[in-house]
Amino acid sequence: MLAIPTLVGVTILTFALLHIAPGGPALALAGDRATPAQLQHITHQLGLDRPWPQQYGAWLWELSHGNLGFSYSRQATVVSLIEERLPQTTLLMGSALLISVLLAVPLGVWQAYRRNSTLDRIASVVVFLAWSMPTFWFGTILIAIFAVQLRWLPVGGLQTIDTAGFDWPSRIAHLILPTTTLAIVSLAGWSRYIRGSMAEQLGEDYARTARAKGLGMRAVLFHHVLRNALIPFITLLGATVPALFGGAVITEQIFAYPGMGQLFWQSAVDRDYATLLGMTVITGVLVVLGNLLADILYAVVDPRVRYD
Amino acid sequence: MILRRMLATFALLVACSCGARTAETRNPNAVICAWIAGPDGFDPFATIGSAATMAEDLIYTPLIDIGPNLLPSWRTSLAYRVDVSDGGTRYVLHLRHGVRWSDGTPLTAKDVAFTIRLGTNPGLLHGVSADFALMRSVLAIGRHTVEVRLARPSPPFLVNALGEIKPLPERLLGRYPPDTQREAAFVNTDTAFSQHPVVSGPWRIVRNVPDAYLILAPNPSYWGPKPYIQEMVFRVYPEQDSLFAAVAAGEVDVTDIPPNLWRVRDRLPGNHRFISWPWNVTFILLPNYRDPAISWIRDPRIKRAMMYAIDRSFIVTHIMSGQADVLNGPIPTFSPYYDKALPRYSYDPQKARALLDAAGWRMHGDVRMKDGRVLRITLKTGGATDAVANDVAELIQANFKAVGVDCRLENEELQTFFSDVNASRFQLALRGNILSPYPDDYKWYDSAQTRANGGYNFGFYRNARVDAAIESARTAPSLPASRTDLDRYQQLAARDLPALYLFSNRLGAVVPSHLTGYELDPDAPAALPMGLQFWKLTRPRG
Amino acid sequence: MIDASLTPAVEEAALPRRRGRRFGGVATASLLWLVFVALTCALGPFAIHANPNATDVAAAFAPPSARHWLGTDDLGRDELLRVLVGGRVTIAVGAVAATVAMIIGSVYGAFCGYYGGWIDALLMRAVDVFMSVPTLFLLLFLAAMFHGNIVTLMLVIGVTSWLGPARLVRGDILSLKERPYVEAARSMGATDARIIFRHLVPNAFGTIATTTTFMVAGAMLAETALSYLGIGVRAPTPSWGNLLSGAQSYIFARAYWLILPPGLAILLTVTALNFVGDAVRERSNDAVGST
Repeated sequence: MLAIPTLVGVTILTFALLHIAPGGPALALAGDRATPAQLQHITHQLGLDRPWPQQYGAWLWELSHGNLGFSYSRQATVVSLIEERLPQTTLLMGSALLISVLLAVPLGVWQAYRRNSTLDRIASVVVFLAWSMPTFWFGTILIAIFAVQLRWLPVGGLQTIDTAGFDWPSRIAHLILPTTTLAIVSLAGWSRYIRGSMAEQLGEDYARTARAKGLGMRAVLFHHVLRNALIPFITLLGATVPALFGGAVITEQIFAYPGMGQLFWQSAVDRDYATLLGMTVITGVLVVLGNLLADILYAVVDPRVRYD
Repeated sequence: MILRRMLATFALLVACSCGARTAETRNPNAVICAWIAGPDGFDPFATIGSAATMAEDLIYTPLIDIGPNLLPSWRTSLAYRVDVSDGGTRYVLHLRHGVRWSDGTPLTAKDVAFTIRLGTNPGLLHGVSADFALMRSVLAIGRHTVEVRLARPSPPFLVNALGEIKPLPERLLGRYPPDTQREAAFVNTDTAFSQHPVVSGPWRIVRNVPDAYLILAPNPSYWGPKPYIQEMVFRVYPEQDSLFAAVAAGEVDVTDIPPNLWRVRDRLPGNHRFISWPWNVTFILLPNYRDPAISWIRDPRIKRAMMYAIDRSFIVTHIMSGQADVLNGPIPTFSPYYDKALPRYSYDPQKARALLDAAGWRMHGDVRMKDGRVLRITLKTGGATDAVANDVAELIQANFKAVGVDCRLENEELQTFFSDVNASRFQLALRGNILSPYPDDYKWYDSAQTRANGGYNFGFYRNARVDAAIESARTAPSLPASRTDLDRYQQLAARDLPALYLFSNRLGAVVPSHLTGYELDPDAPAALPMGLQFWKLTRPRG
Repeated sequence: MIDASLTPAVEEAALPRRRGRRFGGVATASLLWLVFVALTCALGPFAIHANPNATDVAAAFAPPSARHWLGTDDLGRDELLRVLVGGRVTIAVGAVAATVAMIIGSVYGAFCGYYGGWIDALLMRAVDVFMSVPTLFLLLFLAAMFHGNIVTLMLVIGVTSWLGPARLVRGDILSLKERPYVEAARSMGATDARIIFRHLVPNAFGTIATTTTFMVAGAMLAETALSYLGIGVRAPTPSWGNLLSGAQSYIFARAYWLILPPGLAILLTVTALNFVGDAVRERSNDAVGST
């Protein structure tokens, strides 16, 4: 499997970039009041004064023991940080994806049937408008209307504060606005794809033959056309796997949702090397796994596919 | 069909959960504060950031608490009395009796001496103020007395150095030989203490969810006045606009209002009071005196011309919505150390032009030239999302242009800006300095205090008279004696202008109108009103 | 309901493919809008005769009036002028970034598609590696390194978004290279480069044109997001992205004249680009025939 070299390549690239970027972690950690002696000490403590290959090797060694490093700017191990945030982001992105797909598939199918009718045109316009909205704009408008004006939903956070554990109603309330923001914006992509794919399938010989043979419309639709239209769709889904774990920085920022995206951005700004590298690795691994899953699904759905 | 059922279930869930929205917290007697970033830990030697500093102020008893007038506030300090003797070189701190840590063990002189010594370890992420370099010895005498001896007298030592110390338990952190790398490495990475500290202050940590919220409750083992508020919540909203929206939505009670939102504060619905108070900070334009391209900046006439050219009151009124005070020198006007006899630089572009003409820089078209050189400078700001700094920079550019100084603007990402300033890669940098309680500018402007020598004189300013004034102030035998020297320093600085002094921001915050007892501290780390143990709600929230 | 509605689509699909595709109403409107925006942003500022960075703070936050058609911003600058100049910046960033991405992507994809085999496998693996590198960090790093000027921004967005086009073009080339004229050209002694650039790439034009249009839309949105995070176009240069993100704070001041124009400009322009791209795709699909 070519996954391992890919991962290694990614980490080397990230590592190299980190060390070229101006403003290293020592300064970011200690602040600009630190004396040069202090910066020197900290640089040494963080091991940043060793040559790059040696640093990289040391990091790989730690990695092989399951140690992703320590985040000085957050006073926690990288593993614990990711453990905290990954589920939150997956929940958010997963819900957004689910809602997006649940809305997009029927919409796309419906649009394929009513192709080029007025309703289809209107739906297309609405869908494209949604696609073209900058996320932060949309998010802020949602907050202004639903949180501030109407006070139906909270502005941000994970759930009600003083409840430990998983409080479902509160979680859902807090998820609605960010999920909507994400789902609406990505809805267009999916529905357009389904629409095009469905229409293409509907024009294929087998679909017309089946119709001509007198099979019920519903049968034609669900068993053949949709299935064939969904096959490439699944691989598209596979391409969204990185986002599932990487999170949406801007949305998490606006809705005060402590997830992977926010951690990533903050670490980049703070030059928190350990966290950045750790997140890259974890995300990379998950992406590879996700693609694998997509490949398997593809094989399941389309019995004609073989892997040599 | 299935789809319809799913939509119905979803709608039902949504309907149920809307009810949950109305209570962000279940406790009607809680006060909810908010900030942009949460504390990264609770160990003062390993954390940076205003939230962590503020949280530490709440959970630890400070050795010497600095009050709103920048002088010690003994009522809330661990040391109830400090005797200074031997010409200002011997400090004897008398500690309160009966102070306990939250795990029941007593807080003694041993903890204080340990913390002071620990802070001088150069390997720590955040050691203590450099004034501790003067310290020759620190001794715990008995259980309630600490003696500190200095190499020479230092008026700033009490508030700048000792005022920074929050005693930590020696029992838990004193594992390694003092002043070693091992000790530093341990303190820098000790998650156990950093995330779950043993506390000694008025508040204890109920729960901390990093980057989400922090809940504090009164600490039952605190020696002093117990807080009235039973639950203090600090929520994190990384986005300033969302934070403001949260106040408007009633989710947040207390938060700071940055200058660019001050003008819209009265649009916030609900029962709020807006408070503003001085901040011990100065915003300046720092020139780089070593840059050959702007060698003309060493001429004080040009700097004075620039001071006359910038309409600082205008900036304060229109950009900061009045939430700032114009600076006349290195020390803000509200400070007890400010020299009231300082001359002021009014807004006078005519005078500016006259000064520039007198210095030999004549107008050629739009810019001034002399000996074939153009009077051109690049103004660097940090952080693209800081609307106020960018607006200020643009106004300064316009002001300069009006008198013939060609000013280019350059905006850097924040960390890049810090590293550029640190490496003296700038011509004119717009920056804010948070001053210590005693305004000691030694490290900033003394000729010898360049970066290489451990100082912060990023601009390589050199002036022997200013050096002398600063030196005598900080080595005076007593605080009153140092005031005369401080006055002299301010006079010199106002004339020679090591930096162009712009203004001193004020802090602004919103509090519920039924909240009382807060203190307005110019040293407030998180721009929130302080004195939280004295806060009182005259009626429940909600 | 489904049964009845299926009929038109299936019947239409059953018709022969040649539809002589009319450039539908919406697509035409979109095209017109794009032309309008391009012209106003290019020429408008000349008509207004003012400096978009000239401040007049006493007149700050003025709502639209006869003198300032879109009011003034927090420093008293004319908002209409800022939006027009900002349009120039955003559209330029979008166009150049998309061009950069398409050029790199097309060449790369054509190469991979044509040669196939281990070259293809290796190069596409490299694409996977690049795709897994966190883009945001890359952007921050590049923005910080190169001090955030506009040219850098264009290159940065271009360089981080060529991967998708590369894949698409590669896909096209893979199928196109089996065509008979490629064999014919090869037998006549044409070099690989000639075949790729004279024959294959022009025939993939449909894909390229469509993708470019979508890339411009994507690049404009990327500029918006980056400006919001602070690593896009920097003050004082206006761009739709930084005008919009700067105005967010004033949602409470009800300064709608600051929030709506840049937002609507981005929204409508990106939507228009998407419609035009869609129409181009349909047209080129018809021209090529079923895949």
